[in-house]
Amino acid sequence: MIIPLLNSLGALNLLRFRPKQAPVNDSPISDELRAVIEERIKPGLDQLEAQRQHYFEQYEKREKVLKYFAFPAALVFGGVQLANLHLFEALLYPLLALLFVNHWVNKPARDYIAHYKSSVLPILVKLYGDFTYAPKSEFDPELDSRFKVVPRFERWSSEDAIKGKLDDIGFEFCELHLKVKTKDSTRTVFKGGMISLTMPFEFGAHVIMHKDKGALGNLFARGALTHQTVALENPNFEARYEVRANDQQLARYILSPAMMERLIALDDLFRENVQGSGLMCEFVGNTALLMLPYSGNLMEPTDIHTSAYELEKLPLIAQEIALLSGVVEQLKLDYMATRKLAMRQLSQGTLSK
Amino acid sequence: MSIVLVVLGVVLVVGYLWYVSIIKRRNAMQEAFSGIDVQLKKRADLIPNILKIAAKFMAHERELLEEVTRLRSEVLQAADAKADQETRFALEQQLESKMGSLLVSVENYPELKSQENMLAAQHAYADVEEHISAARRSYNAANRGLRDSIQVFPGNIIASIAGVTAMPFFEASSADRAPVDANQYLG
Repeated sequence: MIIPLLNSLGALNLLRFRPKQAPVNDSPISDELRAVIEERIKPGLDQLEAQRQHYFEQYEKREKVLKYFAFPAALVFGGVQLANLHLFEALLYPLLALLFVNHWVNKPARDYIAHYKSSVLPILVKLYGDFTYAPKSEFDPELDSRFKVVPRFERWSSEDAIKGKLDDIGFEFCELHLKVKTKDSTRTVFKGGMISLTMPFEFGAHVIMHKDKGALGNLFARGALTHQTVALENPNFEARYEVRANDQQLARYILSPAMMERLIALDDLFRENVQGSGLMCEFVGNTALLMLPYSGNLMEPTDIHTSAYELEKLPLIAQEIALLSGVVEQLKLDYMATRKLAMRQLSQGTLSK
Repeated sequence: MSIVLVVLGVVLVVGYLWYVSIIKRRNAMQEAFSGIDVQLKKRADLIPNILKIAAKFMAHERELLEEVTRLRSEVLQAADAKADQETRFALEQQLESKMGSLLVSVENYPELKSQENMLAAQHAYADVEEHISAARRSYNAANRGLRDSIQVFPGNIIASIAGVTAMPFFEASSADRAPVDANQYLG
């Protein structure tokens, strides 16, 4: 019982809203970003700061309730239960109560961050293409039945949705947290980012690229019963991933030697920049789905303790958005789209005279 | 006696399962080989489109265009006549080489190079080449799987009884392996 409770404490991220050490940002700020910050973000900072102070007042009042009322009451209750030798009740009820109160205390902080993101991030994402930003995404609860790289889940939460188009390719990103119910609690099955690319052509095959879990682990991977293993020539790629497909030739068309190198490079980029733990990919219909597990939390621009005028995190956020939106170019899927569309034009005889 | 029968039974079952595995792998290899054929046919079908676009601009490359046309006809004739593999692939190799030269020559004609139709044709040709490459890789993988099963005991015995042999891997020609002489292209 204690362990699930501790898991719940961790899941609620109790320390999330405490002041953190400022991250080290060693990347140079581009002129374009500087211009956007000066012309479009700074003019709105007065209003943001006023909002922050309003939310901060509410937060401080609620924190006092926690410090001077809820916490002592929990201690007293726990002490009384302990005195009566009810150890379980002494721990369980005070912890539950403190969890609930903590959630209530931090609501103004969450509201402020959501408000800040809604004001600033839509401006930043426009730097990288025709993108829109929303704090929450329209998540498909049937995702795990449509895609085999998505682990089975029962509960989900998502945030930071970026949507748009890069040339002819539809781009959608969101941060996901997927969980399954266990006997006493929940267990995280995926935490990280999901990128869905809608191509202007059909791949023609169903290709699943899981992390390699060894001979036994791969037998139980999703898609193992319905799709054949594709043995590829790149030993580094083969060591990291297990590929299954319903068409050997088309799988090799999609995962060309150059594409394998690009996927490895992308994986290394995410491991280095956001503590990623190995990307997974699926190509089905006209969709390329990339699952990017990472332990960090992208696009967290501020906290309630930091003045809205402090913009030092923005270049880091811009870097993260560039990393995500650059995936199409990184994998040269835009070039694949150009080739496929040209082939379609020629075979349909629709080239201009 | 019963132990002998059991052992014999096990040996027969294992032998049969190994034989089935060899036949399946041979069929997979043949399927992959015919997959290459499909892509080569696609390329042969695409070539007239490229030649039609290029001919309007490349008046000085008449010889090259005629050479490509001739090779394409020979490739299609060899496919229809079910000529032996070596002859067919030698012709395909020559055609591929000449098409490569043609597409490099396009760079000398700025008007043609920037023409939308020619760009689309080049992209489509690149796509077909990727498919051919994938088909060859698929064939090599299937052939490797077959070789693994017929070179390891008792697969080698079963394969020789069943008359199953592996085919050669697809390899780059000696011309393709030779270092590229940039002067050839830059003049």
